[in-house]
Amino acid sequence: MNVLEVDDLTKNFGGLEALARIGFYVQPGEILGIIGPNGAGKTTLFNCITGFLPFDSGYVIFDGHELRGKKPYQIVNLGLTRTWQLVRPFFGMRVKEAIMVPSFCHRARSTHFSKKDREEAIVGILKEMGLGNKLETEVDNLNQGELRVLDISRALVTDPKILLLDEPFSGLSHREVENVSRVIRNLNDQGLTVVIIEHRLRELMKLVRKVVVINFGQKIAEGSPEEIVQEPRVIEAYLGQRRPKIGLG
Amino acid sequence: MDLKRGLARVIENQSPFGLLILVAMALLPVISDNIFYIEIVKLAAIYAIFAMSWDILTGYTHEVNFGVAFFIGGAGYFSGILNSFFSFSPYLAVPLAALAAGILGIWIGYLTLRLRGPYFAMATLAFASILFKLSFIFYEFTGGEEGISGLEPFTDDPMRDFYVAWVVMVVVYFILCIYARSKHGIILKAIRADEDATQSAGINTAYYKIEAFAISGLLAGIGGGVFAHSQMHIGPTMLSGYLSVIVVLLAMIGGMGTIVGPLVGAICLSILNESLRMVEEYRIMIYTGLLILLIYLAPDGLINLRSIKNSRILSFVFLGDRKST
Amino acid sequence: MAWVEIKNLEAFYHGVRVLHDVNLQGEMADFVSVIGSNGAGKTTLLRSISRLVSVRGHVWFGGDDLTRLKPRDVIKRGVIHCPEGRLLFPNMTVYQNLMMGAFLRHDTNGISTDLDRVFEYLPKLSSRKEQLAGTLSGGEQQMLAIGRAIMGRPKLLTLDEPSFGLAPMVVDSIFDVIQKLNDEGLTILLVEQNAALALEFASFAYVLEEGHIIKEGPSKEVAEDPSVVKAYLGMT
Repeated sequence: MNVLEVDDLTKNFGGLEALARIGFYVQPGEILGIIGPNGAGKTTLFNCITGFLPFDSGYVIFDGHELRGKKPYQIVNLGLTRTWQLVRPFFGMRVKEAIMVPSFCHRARSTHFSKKDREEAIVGILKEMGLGNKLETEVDNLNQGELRVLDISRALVTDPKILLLDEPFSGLSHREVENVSRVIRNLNDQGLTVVIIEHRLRELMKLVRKVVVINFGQKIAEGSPEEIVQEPRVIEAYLGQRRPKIGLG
Repeated sequence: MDLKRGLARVIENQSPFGLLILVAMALLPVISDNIFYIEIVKLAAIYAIFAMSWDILTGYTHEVNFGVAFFIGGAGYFSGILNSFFSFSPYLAVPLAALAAGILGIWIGYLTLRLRGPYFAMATLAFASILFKLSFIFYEFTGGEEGISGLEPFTDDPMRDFYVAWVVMVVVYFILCIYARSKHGIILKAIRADEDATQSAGINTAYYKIEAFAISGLLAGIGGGVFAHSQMHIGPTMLSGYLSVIVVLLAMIGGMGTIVGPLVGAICLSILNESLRMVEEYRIMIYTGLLILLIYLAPDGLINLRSIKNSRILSFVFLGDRKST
Repeated sequence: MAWVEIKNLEAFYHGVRVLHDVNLQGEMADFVSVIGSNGAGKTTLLRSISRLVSVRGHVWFGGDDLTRLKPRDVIKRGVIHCPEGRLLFPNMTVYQNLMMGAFLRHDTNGISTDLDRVFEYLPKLSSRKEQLAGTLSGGEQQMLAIGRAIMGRPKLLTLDEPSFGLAPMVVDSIFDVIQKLNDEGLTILLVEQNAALALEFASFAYVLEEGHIIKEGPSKEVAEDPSVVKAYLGMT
């Protein structure tokens, strides 16, 4: 059974069709990339799936549950967690406080019954993500890479079945991207289903096994990274339409 | 389970300065039996209750509540009416009034849920204004401009009355400290920083916002009831926008989001205000001028000053922060 | 030294290095393009020239070193930036937006001549002089942004993704105007995600990938190079 099914998803903003009958399936344990030029609708897609934006028609079915109409926190408690394109730090708190917030959700509390278990799990996650020695640091004093990693750590605390990452590599140096990549791959190896929106395709294409390409709110291609980069529609979407005067590629 | 955890954390993170102030206030009647001073400090204690209860909502969510008079005066009148028309003892009337205030807090919290920034502030102001007007319209019950006089005090000894106010203030202080350090406080801080991200963490933010409003209303209501019975009078000034603004100022100057800040701010400034009556002609000018100066020097409040936060000693003394590094 | 010369440019954004050792040249009246995928650093490059980000290295224009100047001094030297997303003043009229472009100028006659020129090239703006900029269509907004830039009497016009979010027909009319300006002698530095479009108009192109220039050359040459696809899609 597919862990996530998106069918015929449509979202209009006034006269603008931001998403037009988008559909794709995600299987358990998969690691899927969603790519497309700027403004294609990728973040809008995430916002609709995770309950932050209502959509006009279509279905989003996660683990057998229909997600339409559910509030974002309810969707998280079903096991679907997302991160954001721009980092969302909890300014004004220490790292250890910030990472505790998701541990208060229903899902996290039912996974780890004792407080001690939960705390150990949290500290474990932070250590694995490289923030083990930053527990007492104020969030305001972390750099961009650390904030990104903290976002992902917080997402993991909700014990998700599927993790939706919106541009996780954005703003990171090469080494940091490798680090985050490695962590994502490890999580996926342990059974976590991952869906990633990214623009930094050099790294993404090495990480994922399947790619969905979106342009102007429509799915224009789906396949392995190797298949995708040879797809003329994809090349055209990224590099622009072939003009009569010159050829490209 | 949360209570024990919160309790432990509170005890280990107590602000020494805050405790000092609490103890100092308790010792006052021992040192001096001048009724005049006792009354001033009693009033200061009540204002501290107002300021702290305001802080748990606005200090922790940064949505500015400009209608705290709604709960103070509302509960004051409710308790006053229960007492003078229905002969309820103040020990019963005040808790009931506070409960009513808490329930109204749930209601207003729900109504203002989607409002942000200035719209939230205006809505809270509107509720307080409506109640203010209603107190004139239903003058048969509320005594209109004159309010209700002859309310029963808690005890027949002003000294003991002082301790009633003091005990209530201390209890409110500790309740709020526990609440603020518990998961509720952490979640409110998270909502303050980024509500969407808190939703993404699986938290039902609406619930916690309403809960904070209710607690804030309930505790402000306790303050209002205590005030009414300690003055033996409740009048429209306790529903006025002026009162709301004063509470906001006291709490902000003390230092939002700390509970200790509003406690200290309210007490020190109230005592100062009353002491300035000696130079009554200049009192308002000096007092207001001082408030303006303090806001300019410390926009986040005195307790939140950078110089305090950065100093290990000072941040321990005032905020109870123990830094491990 | 070339008329426009960028040497060893390194730019930083929030402490992360986003441009690595970028070198770029252009002569007067050139039409140069920088292409690359989203996030490659194209916008940062233009912002570096306009002195809106902190950099190491050098930016020379007309013999002057711009690298330590304030942004307004860069404008005074004739380098005008037409930013990504237009960044118009939405509550000001078309006319007011255009006049804002001439803010640093004092030559009333010159301003008036240039205003006539803008309306001649962009007739759509003429009929909407008193309309609020925020109510214009996307294409009209882009035209206004270019008009505002022209009002600064540029010697070098840097354009950041002028085609973004616009329908193909609208893009054509905008690029016709840009081409006309270049034909009259205005040096153009065009940054575009739409590689095909940029390579059609520019004579020389640089390909930026993750902050590095990985290919440069005459447009025709760049168009036929497979490394361009790799720069956008991460692999071939």
